[in-house]
Amino acid sequence: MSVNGMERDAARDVLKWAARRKSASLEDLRRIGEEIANSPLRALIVYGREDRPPCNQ
Amino acid sequence: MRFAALVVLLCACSSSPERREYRQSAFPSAPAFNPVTDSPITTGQPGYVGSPERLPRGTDRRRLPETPNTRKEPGLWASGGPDVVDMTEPRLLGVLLPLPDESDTDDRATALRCAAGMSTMVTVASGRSVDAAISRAAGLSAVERSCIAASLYLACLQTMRDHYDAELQKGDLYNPETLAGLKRLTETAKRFRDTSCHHAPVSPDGDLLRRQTLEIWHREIKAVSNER
Repeated sequence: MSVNGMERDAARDVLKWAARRKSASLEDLRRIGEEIANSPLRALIVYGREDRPPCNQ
Repeated sequence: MRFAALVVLLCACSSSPERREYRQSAFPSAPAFNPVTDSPITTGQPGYVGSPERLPRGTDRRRLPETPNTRKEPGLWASGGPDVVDMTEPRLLGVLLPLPDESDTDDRATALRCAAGMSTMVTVASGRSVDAAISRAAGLSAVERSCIAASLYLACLQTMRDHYDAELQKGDLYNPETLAGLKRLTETAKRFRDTSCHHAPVSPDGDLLRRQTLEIWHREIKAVSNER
């Protein structure tokens, strides 16, 4: 599993989010949640309990 | 010849009738076992068919072995257990980040965005491989992972806040609630970092991961800022 060129998009997303002109709605929250759920990085974001390494370790 | 005669004499003496009678009286045969007189308490013994006796119980409670119903650790199907990790909570390097209440969608979305953004940077710092990033993170202790994740999370929020302040200087009108939320989140993240990194030894590998990730982060933020 590899990712390419995602760092620029991630930085852009963060700055865009910081510059928004309104508060986040439930729809915004759901959309971000879906983005993360569909991301190959999901395993890294939520790979498990603090003191438990992933199963493939 | 004299030796042979001595052996014959000794054998004759040991097998005399008086000697045999003495040996039988020294080793009498065992009496027959009578369960009524010899063992009146036979509850629980093989062959017992009477009503159970009420024996006094001790006050010490024995610690019974665990059963699948009392065992607390997740079993094979851990996803169905009550103690399963909430996968909807944003984590960075496996560390649960401090989150505002669910009703505060704005701050919650910001925390999610930072968790995703910094996870991307960790992945890029690990050769653009999610598997490599996970292996790298799993090689660190929970304490140092917590410290590194808190540092990265704080860096993300500080960047957002700085960017917001810069946009504000340009004269654009922004939602004051957004600025207040960013300040609130940054303060919480700072306390989280201070607590997580207090007396937390970070290994050379952990320090390298943190420095590489922050280097990529600041480089990309600078590049995106110059696009505008």
